[in-house]
Amino acid sequence: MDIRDEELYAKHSDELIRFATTLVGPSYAEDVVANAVLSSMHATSWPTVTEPRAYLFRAVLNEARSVGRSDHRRTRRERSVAPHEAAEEATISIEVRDAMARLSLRERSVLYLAYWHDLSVGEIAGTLGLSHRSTERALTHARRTLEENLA
Amino acid sequence: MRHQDWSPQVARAMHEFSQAAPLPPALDGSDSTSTRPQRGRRPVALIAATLAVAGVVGTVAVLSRETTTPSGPATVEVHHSQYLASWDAQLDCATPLDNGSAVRSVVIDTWSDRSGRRWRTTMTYPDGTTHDVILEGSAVYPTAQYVRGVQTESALGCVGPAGEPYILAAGPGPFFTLSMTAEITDVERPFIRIYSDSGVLVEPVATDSQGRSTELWEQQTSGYAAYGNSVDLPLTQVTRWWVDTDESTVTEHTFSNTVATLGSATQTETLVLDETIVVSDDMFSTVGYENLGSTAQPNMAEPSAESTVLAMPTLFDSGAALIVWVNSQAIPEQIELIRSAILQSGVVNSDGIQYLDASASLTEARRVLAGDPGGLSLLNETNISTMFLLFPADVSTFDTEFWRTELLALPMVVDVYAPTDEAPYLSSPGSSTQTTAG
Repeated sequence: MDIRDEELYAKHSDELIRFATTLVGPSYAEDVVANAVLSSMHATSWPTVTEPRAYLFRAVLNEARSVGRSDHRRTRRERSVAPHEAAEEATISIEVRDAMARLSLRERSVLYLAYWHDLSVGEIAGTLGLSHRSTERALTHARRTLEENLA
Repeated sequence: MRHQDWSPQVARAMHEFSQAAPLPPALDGSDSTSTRPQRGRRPVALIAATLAVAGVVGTVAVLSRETTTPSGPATVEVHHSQYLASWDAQLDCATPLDNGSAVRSVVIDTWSDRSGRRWRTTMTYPDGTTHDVILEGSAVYPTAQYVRGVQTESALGCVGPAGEPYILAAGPGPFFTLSMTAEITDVERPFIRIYSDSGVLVEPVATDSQGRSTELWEQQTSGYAAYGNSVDLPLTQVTRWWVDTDESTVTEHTFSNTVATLGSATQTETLVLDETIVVSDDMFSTVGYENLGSTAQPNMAEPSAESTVLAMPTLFDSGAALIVWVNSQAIPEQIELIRSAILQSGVVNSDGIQYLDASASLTEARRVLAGDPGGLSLLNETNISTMFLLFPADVSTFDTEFWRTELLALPMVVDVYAPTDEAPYLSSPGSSTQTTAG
C-alpha cells in the first residue's frame, strides 16, 4: 500500500466500515473492508481508477455478497441455536436485526448511502453501478420493509 | 430526490447498525484506527414520514418479454435466460478462412426445468432459422438428448502456407447456461469446472458490456499453435467471466485466442435476459426431434476391492496408458475444459498429459490402427478425433478400466482407448453438445 492508498484508506475507512456493518453486521465488517480494500488496491486497474471512493464502496458491496453466500448456512445454524442471543451485536436490537435481514444487500447499500450520505437516487446509482430504476426500487422497498417491520 | 423526511423506523435501524460498527481494520499492520475521530453523523429528524412514492412501493414482479401464463393445466415454472453469442476477429493473414456463409452472432434462449431435470436451448440465427436441443436427466450428462433443426457454425482464422486451417474462433455450439452451479448435482460437480475453479479474481469491481456491476475473473494459458510440420506459433488463450455476485450469475463470458503473426479472435456470450417464468409443458415436447441417446453418467464410486490387485498394463508404443479421443468438432475452449477435467480427476499429473492436434492425431492413429487399414482409410485431418495421451506416474497401480469409465463421462470425449482394445471406429464425430462452464 503506497502513500496515496494509505491516505485514501485513512480518509474513507470510517465510512467503509459503517457501510460494511450495515451490510453484514459488525462481526464480519472488518474482514469485508480489509478484503475489499486490499483486493482493490492490488487490482491491475487500480492506478487508473478515477473515482476511488465509489470503487471502494462497490468493492465492499461485492465482498459482502461473498460473505453472505459462504456464511449463509452458518448464520442460519447459529440463529436457530441462539435465536434470542444478541452476542457481539449487543447494540443492535433483535427486532432491528431481523428487520434488516429482510433487506437484500443491494437494498441495504442504497438505504445506507441515501440516509448517511444524503445522496440522490442518481448519485447512488452512479456510486454502486446500478440503474436509476433499480436503485429507486431498492430504496422504496427498503424503507417500506423497515417501516412495516419496526412499526 | 432527497430524502429529508426519514421515518423513525428507518432512522432507528440505520443508527443501531452504525453504532455497532467496529473500528476500521488496520491494513499493512499499521494502527490506523487508534485515533479514530468522532463520527460526524448527519442529523436526522425522527418524525414520521409519508412516502412520496407510496404509489410504487412493493416488490416488483419480474416482467418477461413475450411471456404469458398458459391457462391450461400443463404448465411448468422454468428459469429462462437469453444470451447473445457473437464472435469477432482481428486477423492479419494473407488468406482468411472462407466464411462467406458464416454468421457472426446468434441469439440463444435457454429454459431449465430444474425440478423436472429438463433443459432446452434454442439458437436463433440471423436468417430466422433455429436449432433446438432438449436434454433430460442432466444438463451435462444427459440420459436423453434430442435435436431439431440445422446447427450453423462459424470459424474464424487463417489458412496456413500449406493450406492448413488455423481456427482461432468457432461456434457456438448449443449451450445451456453460463452459470453452471444452479443446474448441476453434487455428483456432477467434481467434473465441472466453474469460473472460480479455472480463473482468478482480477477485478473485484468491474463492469460488463451491458454496464452491470460485476466481478471479473480470468484465466490465461500460453502455448503454441501447431499444425503438422508447420512452424509452431506462440499462442495465448484468455477466458474471462463477468460475475454478478449478488445473483451468483455469470453475466458475460469471453474466450480469446491470440496467435503470433495471425491475429486474435474472440467469442462472447452475453446474458441479456434472466427470469423465472411459467410456460407450457409443451416447451419440452420432443415430438419432431431426433433422439441422440444418452451421455454416460460419471462414476463417482470408489474402485472395487477386486480392482486394487492389478496386472501390469501394457502400454502404447508412445508409452501412454490411455488415449482419450476428443470430438473432432471440439473447439479450443472445450479441449481445454477436457484437459482441466482430466487433471482434476487425478488420473495423471500435469506432466503426464499430452494433447495431439488433428495432424498429430492422424499420425498417431496410423501407428495405433496399423492393423485396421479399413478404419484408417476413413480418417483424415478434418474428421479425425483429436486425442489426449495419458502417462500415469505409476503404471503398476493404474486401474485402466476404472479410469476409462470415468473419462468416458466427460463431455466431448468420444472414446477412451486402452492398449488391449480392439481397434475402434474413430471417424464418428459423436455428439456435438456443448456446455459452457461458468
